[in-house]
Amino acid sequence: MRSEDLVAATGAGAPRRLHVLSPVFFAGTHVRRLWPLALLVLARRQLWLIVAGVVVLLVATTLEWWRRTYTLEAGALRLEEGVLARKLRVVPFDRIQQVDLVRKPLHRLLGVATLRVETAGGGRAAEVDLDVVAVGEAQALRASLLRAKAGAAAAPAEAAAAAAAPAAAAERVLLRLSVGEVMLAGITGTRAAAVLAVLGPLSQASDWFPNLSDWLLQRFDPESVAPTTPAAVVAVALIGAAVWLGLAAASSVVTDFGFTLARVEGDLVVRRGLLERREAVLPIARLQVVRVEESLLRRWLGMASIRIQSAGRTAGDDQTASRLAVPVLQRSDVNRVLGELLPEAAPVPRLLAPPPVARRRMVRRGILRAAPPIVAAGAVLWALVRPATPVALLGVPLAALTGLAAYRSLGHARRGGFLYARQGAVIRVTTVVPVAKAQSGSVRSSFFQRRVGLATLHVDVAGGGPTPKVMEEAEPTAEALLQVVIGRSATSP
Amino acid sequence: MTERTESVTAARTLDRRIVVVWTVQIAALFLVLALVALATDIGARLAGAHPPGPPGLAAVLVALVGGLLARWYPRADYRSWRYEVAEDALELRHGILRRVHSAIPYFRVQHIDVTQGPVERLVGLSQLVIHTASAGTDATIPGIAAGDAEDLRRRILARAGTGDAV
Repeated sequence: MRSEDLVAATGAGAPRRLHVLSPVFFAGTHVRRLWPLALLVLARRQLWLIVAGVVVLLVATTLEWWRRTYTLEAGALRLEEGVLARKLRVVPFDRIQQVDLVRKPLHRLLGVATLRVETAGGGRAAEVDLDVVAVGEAQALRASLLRAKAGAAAAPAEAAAAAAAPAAAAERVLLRLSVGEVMLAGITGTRAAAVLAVLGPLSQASDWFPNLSDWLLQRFDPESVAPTTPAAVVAVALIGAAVWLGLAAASSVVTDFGFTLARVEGDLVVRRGLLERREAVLPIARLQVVRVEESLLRRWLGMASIRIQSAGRTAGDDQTASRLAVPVLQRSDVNRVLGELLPEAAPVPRLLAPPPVARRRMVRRGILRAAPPIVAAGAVLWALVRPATPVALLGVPLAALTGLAAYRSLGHARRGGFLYARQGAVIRVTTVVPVAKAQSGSVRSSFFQRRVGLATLHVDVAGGGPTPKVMEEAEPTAEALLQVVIGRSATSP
Repeated sequence: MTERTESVTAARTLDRRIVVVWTVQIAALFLVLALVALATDIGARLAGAHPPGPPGLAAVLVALVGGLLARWYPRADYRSWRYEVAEDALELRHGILRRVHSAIPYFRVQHIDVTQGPVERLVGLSQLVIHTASAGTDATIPGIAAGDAEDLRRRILARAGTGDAV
């Protein structure tokens, strides 16, 4: 009736069930999904109702567990599930993009893990979610899947044999972050930077946390703590900054503690997490785009961060392990890591700046974009400290400088099979696209760009992230790059 | 694969009937907006307010703008559109203020949708939407005669082949 016949024919493997504890985790998800019902049952405070609920839940989840099996077949992972409505899913090995191992605190306590298999163009949920399997089995299964996948790419017939072979690949650590570095990543990260930008109107914090202000008012006499002198205002601001940065550092430690980037043969391994350990494995050949990000603060500190885009998941779902990033690293390490991620892409070559007409455009655009906040600041000053209103005009040269900085960071290069593009005034992002991964491309020009002969090249790649762009380039250059992107001129300049 | 030997084709324009489709769509949109304006106007007057001008001025203005737009935009957009079924890639050029030139190599094509809106069905036009593994790919050809759309779809898919596109 099921896959036994096929398995006997191929000898790839028998259908297996998940870990015996899985029903407990199923029950957990069911309760979370049906929480109003669970709350209702608990609120009645009738023992029989609670017992009946638990029994129904246990029977249902046990049946569910009994019916859910997975099989490693010749060319695919096969899943069967469903008690009433049956579901069969077959995931061919060559479609696997990424395999993740997630261990929540409870998982770690019980020696189990969730194994997630992501495929190209998947929706929001992982294609396969084995919740839960014993850790050892999860690791073996992952190794088998990845090896079978590599085998499937080479010779489909050998995939099953490869899947059966024991795991014995050496791991080479590329980068390991200390706790201090992880904290630094949180403090200098974009979240903390955003916090710094809004530190001025700190008094509004009470609007965001109404309970906090109540709590504070109960404990402190507002008269005595209210910042009345400039020094006190500065002190409050500093304390606020310290708290925010502390929070940023702490949240960074929770998600990225023990961050390790390693290579096992052709796969990239990312391990991180304090309580919930996440381990993502991504075949290097599946990398779509690598982004090197340098915020202003990090540039001063000589640091950068790297984001890796795989085709696995659509738009940045931060809750999953598929978000692959190196939170922080020394700038001097960037080329070494880039070379491991995209062989032959490192070092980043000298980039060509866009034509000078782009400079005027960027400066003008910087001023135009800053106009509403400058006007708003002027209005606020007019209302509060009328003589200080002209101070708002200082925003204009600042905006112009930002525009100039935006122009300075623009640039592109093409070397070998890679296209490099850089942009961003405050957070400078250097995008490295393997041309062979580009799906399609377009050259776009607004009315104002056309007047000065400029255009922007968009490179469409698989996976969630932002579209890589070569901005404000001369139109013929952009058109020539488009030909490269669609694979018409493979030769390097 | 007889198409492979075929020489590179010239850029094509859309089917002229797309102008009718776009005109009807814009006209319908502005008709609704004008009716909303009229209803608001009447409602305000009944409530005792005094909007400037004679009754129905807002509705007439909205209808006027809609009329001008419906007259100008479809023709201009039609003139801006060119698509080319080249040897190795599909190339689209369009846009009035914002010009777009996109190119999609055939071997990246995952699937192609042929869709028809109600107005398009009336005049016998189809729209071709080409999908790759990237969500960013902008490849929609509006206004192809229904028969041609099916033919074009088949030709592109014949060239798409079976490459591992990711």
